[in-house]
Amino acid sequence: MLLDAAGMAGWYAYLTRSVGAQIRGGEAVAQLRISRERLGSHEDHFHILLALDWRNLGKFASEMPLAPSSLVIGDPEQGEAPAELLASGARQAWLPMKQLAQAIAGGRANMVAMGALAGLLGLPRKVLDAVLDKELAPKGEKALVASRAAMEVGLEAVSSLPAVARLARPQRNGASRWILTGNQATGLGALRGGVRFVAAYPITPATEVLEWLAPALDEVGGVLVQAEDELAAINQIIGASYGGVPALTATAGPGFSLMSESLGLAVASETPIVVVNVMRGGPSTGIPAKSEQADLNIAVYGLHGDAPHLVLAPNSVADCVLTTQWAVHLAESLQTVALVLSDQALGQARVVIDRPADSVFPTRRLTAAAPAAAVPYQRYALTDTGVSPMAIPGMPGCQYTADGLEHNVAGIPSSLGSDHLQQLDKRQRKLDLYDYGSAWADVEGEGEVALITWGSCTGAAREAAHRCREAGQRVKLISLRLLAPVQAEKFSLAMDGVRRALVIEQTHSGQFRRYLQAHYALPAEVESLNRPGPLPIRPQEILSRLAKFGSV
Amino acid sequence: MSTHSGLQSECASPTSEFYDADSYISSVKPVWCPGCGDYSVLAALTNALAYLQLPPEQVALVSGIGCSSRIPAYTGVYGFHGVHGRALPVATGLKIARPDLTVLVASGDGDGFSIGGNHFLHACRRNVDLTYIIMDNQVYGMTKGQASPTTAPDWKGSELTPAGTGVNPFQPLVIALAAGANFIARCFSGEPANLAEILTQAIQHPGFSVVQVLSPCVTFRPEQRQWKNLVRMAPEGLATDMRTAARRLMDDDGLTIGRVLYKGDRAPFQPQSAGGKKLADLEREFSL
Amino acid sequence: MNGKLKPNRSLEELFEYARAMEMEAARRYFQLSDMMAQHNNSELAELFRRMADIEWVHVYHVGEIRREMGVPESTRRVYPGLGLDGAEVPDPLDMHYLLRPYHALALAREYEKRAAQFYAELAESAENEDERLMAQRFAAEEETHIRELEQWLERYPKPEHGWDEDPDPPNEPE
Repeated sequence: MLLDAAGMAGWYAYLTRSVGAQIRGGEAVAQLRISRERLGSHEDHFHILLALDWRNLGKFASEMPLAPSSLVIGDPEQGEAPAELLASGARQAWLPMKQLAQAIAGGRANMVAMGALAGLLGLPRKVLDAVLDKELAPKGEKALVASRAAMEVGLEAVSSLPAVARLARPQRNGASRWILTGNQATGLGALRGGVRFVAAYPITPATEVLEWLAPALDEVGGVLVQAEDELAAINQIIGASYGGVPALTATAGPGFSLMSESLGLAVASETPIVVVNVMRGGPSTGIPAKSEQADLNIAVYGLHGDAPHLVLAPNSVADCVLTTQWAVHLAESLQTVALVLSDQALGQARVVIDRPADSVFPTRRLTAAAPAAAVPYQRYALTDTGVSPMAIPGMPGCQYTADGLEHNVAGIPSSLGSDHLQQLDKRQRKLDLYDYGSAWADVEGEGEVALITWGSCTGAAREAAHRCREAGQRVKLISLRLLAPVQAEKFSLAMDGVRRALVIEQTHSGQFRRYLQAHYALPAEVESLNRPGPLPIRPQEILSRLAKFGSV
Repeated sequence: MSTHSGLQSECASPTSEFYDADSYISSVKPVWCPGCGDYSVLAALTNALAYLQLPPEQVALVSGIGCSSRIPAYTGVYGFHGVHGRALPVATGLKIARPDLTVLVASGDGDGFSIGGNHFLHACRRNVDLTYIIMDNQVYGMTKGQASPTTAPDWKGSELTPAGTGVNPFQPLVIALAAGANFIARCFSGEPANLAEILTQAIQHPGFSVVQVLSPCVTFRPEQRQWKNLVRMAPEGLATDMRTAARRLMDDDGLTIGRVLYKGDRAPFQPQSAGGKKLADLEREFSL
Repeated sequence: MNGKLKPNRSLEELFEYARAMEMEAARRYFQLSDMMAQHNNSELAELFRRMADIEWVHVYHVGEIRREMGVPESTRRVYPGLGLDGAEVPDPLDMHYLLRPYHALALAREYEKRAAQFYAELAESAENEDERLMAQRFAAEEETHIRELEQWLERYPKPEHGWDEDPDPPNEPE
C-alpha cells in the first residue's frame, strides 16, 4: 500500500520482500525505496527500519544495512532492538503500535505502522485514503473504518518520533506511470511479441509469470496449459510452435536444466520457442526465493552439440517488457530458441515506473507458400540469410517431418558430413547475419573506465555511475541485453577509449567475466566484482571498488 | 494421386479430391528390418487415413525415438520426430494450438512406457483429442535389444539383464483405463485389416484414444514370429463403463486383440479462450 | 485369419474386393521390394519388384473381366482395411533380410494358394449362380498364377541350412 501510495503521489518506488520458509505465518520483511528519480535498485542502506517485532531478525539482518543516520522504530513491548542493528549506530525510537491498535475496534498494529511511516515520508493524505479504500473496501466497511482509524493514530504519532530527512517532492511530469512486477512485465512482453500458447509448470520464482499469463491469454485469445513437468512444458510449446503458434514457457534453474535436451530439439528442428528462466540461487535446489545470476553458463553452453541460439537478459523491471517481446520477435524471425534470463530480484520486485513504450518489433515468421508442382518443398533449404521458409500444418503440398536428427535440405535424416556441415552452417549463419540493431546493450556515458554488467545488477551499476558523474568523474556503463550470439564488434565499438573495466555480476565463479574474456576484446585492466546471491550488490560497493582502481 | 510404383511426389496437387493409401506415403523408404511388424502398421494406418479421406496436409504424426518412431518420415503427412519419450507433450501442444488438425502419435513400448511413462499417464488423464499408436514389441529394438516395461521378467535375451529383469511388466491398457483414456484397443500387426478398422474408430472417437499394436521385432525377439499363432480375437462386449472395462482388462493375458475394449464418453480437453480483448485493455491493470 | 472378411453377396462387391486385394498385393510387393533394396538384398528387391508388376497386371485383369461381364464399378464406400487381409497379400512378418529367391517364390506360391482356396470356398458357399461362377473363375485364375510360380520356383534350388546366419552383430543406428 505504501508503494501504491508513493506511486500515486508521483514518486518512483521499488519494493522487495524477503520471507521465511513457511508458507504462511512466517517471518517477513519488506524493503521499500521511494525517490523522485527513476529507480533500479535498493540504496546502500535504509533510512528507516520499522519493526513490529524482533523475532528472527538474524535471518534478515544482512539485507537491512543501516547507517548512523538511520532511524530504527520499535514497539516498546518487544524490548530493545537487537545489538546487531544498533551496532550500525542508528538512532532508536519507540512507537507502541500494538497498544495503539488495541485501543481501536478491529485495529491492527501494521496499519498504525503504515500511518507512522506515511507521516514520516510525507505522503499526502488524499493518496493514502485512496489506497486504503482500494485495498480494504473489498473486506467490508468495518475493516475499512478500523484501518482508517488505526492509520490516523499512526499519522498522529509521527510528532512523537524524531525527524527524518524529507523526500524531495515528486515531479509530476504528466507521463502515466505503472505499478507491476518483473514477472508481470515478462508476461506482458510475451503477449506483445505475439505469444498465444504457454505451457506452465510452477516453480519459484517464475510461477507468477505463468499465473499472470493464464487469464491474460484467455482474454486475448490464447491458451495456457498446465503441464505435468518441465519436460512436458518445453515439448508442448515446441508442438504448438510447430503448428504455427508463437509459444513460450517460464521456469527457473532446476526446470531449465530439465529442458536442455528439448531446447536442442528446437534448435535442430528450427522450431521457434522462447523460454524464460527467472534465475534463483543455485546450484541444484539452491536458494529458491533469492536471486543470483549463475545460470549464464547453462543458458549459453548448456545444449549438447553445437547448437547456436539466442540468450537475452532484461536489465530492469521495465526492460522485462521490451526484452521478452524482443525475444519472441527474434525467435520467430530466426526460427530458433530464445532464452530470456530474468531473475528473482527483477521478477518479484514490485515497482513504480514510467509506462513502457509501445511495441516496436513486428514479429513475423517466414512461412512457406504452396510450391509449384514438381518442385518439392525443402524445409531446410540453404538460403542466403540462413532462414528457410517454414511450412505450417494445413498448408497443402509442403508436408515434411521436422526432426532432431541431422537432416538434409528436405528434412530427410542424414549422417553425411556434407549435410551436417551445411545445416550447422545454416543454423549458425542465420544468427550471424541478422542485424540486431542497437538493442543489444545499454551503453551509457563516456570515459576511460567502464562498468560492464547485465541483468539485475544494472540498477545498482547505473546508480553508481550516476553518482560518479555527479562527483565529476567520467564513467561508462555497458549493460548487455543480447548475451548470445556474441556481438563482438559492437562491443569493441562501445568499449572504444576504455582502458579499465569493472565486471559486475552476481555469481560465485565469475561466469560473466569468463564469458566476456572468452568471446570479447577486453582492455588489459579488467577486474571483477562478483558475489553470489542472495544479497544484491549495492551502489556503494561498486563505488568503493572503483575507488580502488586508482586514478578515477 | 498415385502411381503404380507406390511413390508419392513431394507436392500433392491441392486440387486432388480423392485420397488413396498412396496419398499418405512419402518417397522415403523404411529401414525397418524385413519381418518387422511396423510395415503392416504403416500399411494399416495409410489405409485408415484413406478410408477417412483426411487431406494429408491436415494430418500430423508425432513420434519420439525408436524404430517405431521413424514412421512419420515414411508418411506424406506433417510429421514431427521429437526426442525420446516426449511425443505426447509435443502432440498435446500441437493439438491444443491447432484443434483443426488430426493429430496422431506413434511410439514404441520403451519410448512410450519407460521414459515417456509420466506423459502417458497425463495424456490419458488430460484427454486431448489424440490417437496414440503404440507399437509394442516388448523390447528396445533400436539400441540392440534391452528389456522394456512390457517385457516378461524372465526374458534373458538382453546383455544388460542377462538373468532377466526380475521385474514384472505392466499392462499398459489397464493403466490407460485407470488414468482416464477415452478409447482403448489392442491389435496385432499381423491382422492389418482389423488394425485399419480399429484405427479409423480410434481416430474418429473424440478424446485420447490408445491403440496398443503388438508388432513383432524379428531381430531381437524372433520368437514373436509365433505371435500369429498365439493371438486370438478378444471376446465380444464393448465396455462403456470403467468397472466392466477394468475387470475385463485385468483378466486379460495381453494377447487378445481385434476389438475395442473400452469407449468412454468424457469430453475431450480443448480449452476455448474467451478472446476479444485487446492488449491495451490488459495493460490498464498496471496503470496507477 | 487371412481372407476372413467375406465380401457381401453381390458381383459388384466381389470385383471390388478382388481388385482391392490385387492392388494391396501390388502395394505390398513394392514395399517389400524397397525393403529388400534397403537391406542390400538386390536379388529379392528385383524379384519382389517383378511380382509387384505382375500383381498390377492382375489388377487390370480384374478390371477387364469386370467390364467383360458387364458388372458396374462399385460406388459403395469401401470399408477400412479393404484388401489388407486379402489372402493373396504378402505378409511382412514372413520376411527376412537374407531371404533367397527360393523362399520368396515359395511364399508367393503360398499366398496364391490361399487366394485360390479363398475363392474356392467362396464359390462353395455362393448364394447365387452368378457369384459362384465368378468365384470359380477367380479361383481358376489364381490356379494359373500358382502354376506360373511353380515353374519359376523350379529354377532355384532350395537353399542350404544356415542361409539366415549372419556373423555380423546388430548395429545401433540411433
